Amino acid sequence: MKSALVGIAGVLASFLAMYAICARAGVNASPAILAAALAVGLARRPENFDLRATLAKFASLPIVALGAALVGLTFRSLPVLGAILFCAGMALSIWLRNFDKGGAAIGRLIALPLLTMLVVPVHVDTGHPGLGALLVMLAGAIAFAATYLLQRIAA
Amino acid sequence: MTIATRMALQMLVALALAFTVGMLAFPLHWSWVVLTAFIVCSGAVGRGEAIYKGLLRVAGAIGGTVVAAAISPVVPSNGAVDATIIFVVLFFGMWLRTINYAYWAACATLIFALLQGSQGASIGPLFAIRVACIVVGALCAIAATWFVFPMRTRLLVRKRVAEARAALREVRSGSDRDLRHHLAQLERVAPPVRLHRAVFGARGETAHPAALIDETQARLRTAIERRKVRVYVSVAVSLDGYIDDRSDQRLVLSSPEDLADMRLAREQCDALLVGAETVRRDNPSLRSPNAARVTVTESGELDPALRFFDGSARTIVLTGHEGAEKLRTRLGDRAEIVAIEQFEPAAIIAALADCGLHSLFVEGGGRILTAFLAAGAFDRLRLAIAPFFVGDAAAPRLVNAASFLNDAKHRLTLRGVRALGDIAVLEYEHPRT
Repeated sequence: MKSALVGIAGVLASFLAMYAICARAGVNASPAILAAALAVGLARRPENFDLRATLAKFASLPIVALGAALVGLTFRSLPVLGAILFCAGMALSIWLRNFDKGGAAIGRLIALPLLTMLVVPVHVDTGHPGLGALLVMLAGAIAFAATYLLQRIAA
Repeated sequence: MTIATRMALQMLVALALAFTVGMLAFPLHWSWVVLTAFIVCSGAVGRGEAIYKGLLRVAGAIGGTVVAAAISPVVPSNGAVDATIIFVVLFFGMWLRTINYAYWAACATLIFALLQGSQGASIGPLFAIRVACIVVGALCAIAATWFVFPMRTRLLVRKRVAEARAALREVRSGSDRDLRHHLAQLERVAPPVRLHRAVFGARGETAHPAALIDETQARLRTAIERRKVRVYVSVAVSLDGYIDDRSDQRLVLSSPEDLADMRLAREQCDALLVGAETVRRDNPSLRSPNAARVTVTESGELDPALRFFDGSARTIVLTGHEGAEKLRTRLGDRAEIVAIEQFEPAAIIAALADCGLHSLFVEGGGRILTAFLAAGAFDRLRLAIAPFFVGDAAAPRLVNAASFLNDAKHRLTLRGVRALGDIAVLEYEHPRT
């Protein structure tokens, strides 16, 4: 019950923060939904509050989120190539479990945005590709920060 | 091939199948097929797990559809109301997911319905497509786990049970393995085999995989519980550190006040432990209300005529497997004979926990005290110091030479100092790790 409460608080915080940013930037709410979906995924596995691992994850999640968004774009223009990239990414994320906890953590990091992209296809209509990419990365960073901070407070 | 590589290949095939079938049969909703294939295949090591997860996913989707159909006429299509309900349903999904994945699947379908409803879409035909996509996705995943480097659930259960039992054996001999990890590993493979037993029964088999899991989990839980046995070590010494002299008569170190206080401490425990040598030499009756008497013997040389076996209290003798039968014959119903793997505190404590005892009062003699104190296998140490010297180098000391966990760098915590008559009683606490 407690972890579900913390989780939903993280989802709400991520969604509202990103929604406010999207409204300010004058774009649709897709990045906000992406942030909420990422927060749902992150809430399933409590953070271990190890500073080094946390910083590494914080730095890498937006990049992986951007990668997932690019796979999403590929789906729109070249669906077969998008499917191949998706299958390879997911299989790789599982295969990395061969390399103990570190490998498994990287695997989860790859799988989460790919899966989120499948659940919440992101179409950011900004008219400026750079802004769209920035918003997607920001969604990843906000989802992680909100989830981490709330889990830390609740611990 | 490792399990992770096998699972990666299964996932690759499952997703490739799902993409192919999904894009051809459901061009607008292929993502539902792919998502289901991923969810069902993800983490499914054995074939039974994939079937079980597929059933949960389909059942959840159908359940969610039914609920959505029931509530959609009464929920007004309003952005704020929809958003509130979506987050409430999401919360329940996150909460109930820990109980069963089907709840999460149902909530996800319900959220999808609310999202569709808020966009003014008709949900009836769409939900038939959704359920069809989910069934196809689940079948893709099951096909992959069934044909691509498959792992039979029965073999997987045996592997997990063997690993758990190996960990249990190591715990019995004193090493520290993560029993909760094995409990969780077994719990992961348990649901499909339990469902199989519930639907098809045990079919007269002596050991259905579900029964193997249940039995091993019970042992693991016992092993985890046994760590909760509290150990209280009590010893009285002379000023020069001796617990006895070399005369035939037992040396009285305690004062009447100390003995009365020790009696009270004994009454807080449900087992009193002394070594077999002390039983033979001092012939103690070792009585305390509601407490079992326990001794440990390697040789098995115990005379049934000793007061220890007078039948006035529950009596337990811990011994090796080889001598257990001989002792059972010799002592008859005077004592319970429990075989242990090794004569170490961890094994002694584990065996007593198996006997349903949760607090142990350790009284001696030298070998037992040395073993428990050296291993740090105690929660409290009560040290009574008598105001005189023995002065005989050959007399038994508090402890024998050993490697002690609590050395100068790992000190005990002094919890109290009391004067009971002319005896000083020191109470130390050991933070068990």
